[in-house]
Amino acid sequence: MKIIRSLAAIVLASAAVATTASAEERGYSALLCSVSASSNVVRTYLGLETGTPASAHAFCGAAPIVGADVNRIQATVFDRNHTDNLCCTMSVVTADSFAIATASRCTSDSTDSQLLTFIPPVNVAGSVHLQCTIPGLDFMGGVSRIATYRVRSTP
Amino acid sequence: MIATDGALKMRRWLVPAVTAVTVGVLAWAFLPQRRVAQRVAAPPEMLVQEVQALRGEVGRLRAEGQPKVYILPTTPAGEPVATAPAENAPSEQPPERTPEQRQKEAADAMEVKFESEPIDAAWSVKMVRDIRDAISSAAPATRVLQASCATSLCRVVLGHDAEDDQRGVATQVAAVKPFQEGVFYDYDHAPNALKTTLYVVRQGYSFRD
Repeated sequence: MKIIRSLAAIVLASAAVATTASAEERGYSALLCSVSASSNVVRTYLGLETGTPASAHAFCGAAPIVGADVNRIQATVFDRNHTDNLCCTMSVVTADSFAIATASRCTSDSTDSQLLTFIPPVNVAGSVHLQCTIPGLDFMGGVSRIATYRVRSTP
Repeated sequence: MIATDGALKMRRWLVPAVTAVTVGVLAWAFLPQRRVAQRVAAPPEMLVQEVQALRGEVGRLRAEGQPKVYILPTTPAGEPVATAPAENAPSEQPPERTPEQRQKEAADAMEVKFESEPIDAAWSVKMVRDIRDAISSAAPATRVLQASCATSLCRVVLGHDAEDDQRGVATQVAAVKPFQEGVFYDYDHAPNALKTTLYVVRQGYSFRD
């Protein structure tokens, strides 16, 4: 019985290793993103935040393994503006700068941490771009923020 | 020399016995089975050498019998083509596809998926209208050559006059309502006939369903 259990454990461990090896996820801090109007944006250890009532645009990039199939793009954001949403346009781009897959995702409500997720079709990626609009401070002083973004791909 | 009675009796008995033993020994020595037995009982070193020699012979015959693989690279006409046999070439592995070929395969798969879907008439008519309106306002430099929708996907063929228009179309439409859920782009860079085919996924569906 012990031998069977040991064998089962080995099989499960091998499967886990194989799964880990086949897909790769890289995470990035939003502090790596550039912004359109730096006067509107505050960089903190939590990410990019708007510091004025005006909204701001952030441009974020990622470089998966060349030619990999990017199968998930995800941004962790905080939308504390009661009237405007935080939206990100996510793109998978070829090595010669043609977008091969795009989608736009917005927060649904003003709450704490939300995940904006895009599952692109099968692709041969060169890079990944995110262009996000962060709403400004609302009348209650709520701060909206991009914290991190992640790109999962399969070589 | 005088022989005693006992000695004579013994000689009479000894002659047939010695004859029988001699005949037996000769028969044993010259029988064919004896030779086979001797061969089988040959020293193991000889057998090993014999087996090794036979293996070498089989290997040589196999090598001679195998077809030689020649790789003929696609070179422009007139250039000499290498004809050396590729002894170590991996003949069973297909050649690695380029990123362009893999991307084209992804586009072909998308086309097959679109073509295989039934048409949701009610949704399709409205979606085609929304797509045409969105393109005309978001990307005015682009012409809609064709637009049709099935159940989970729409296919939109756009025409462009300049490569910059073609390159920028994704940025122009990605955040516009009918395209927000997700778009796959297939570019045709043919000179003077720049075209982009967009596969637009319906809300609530996924490209990887």
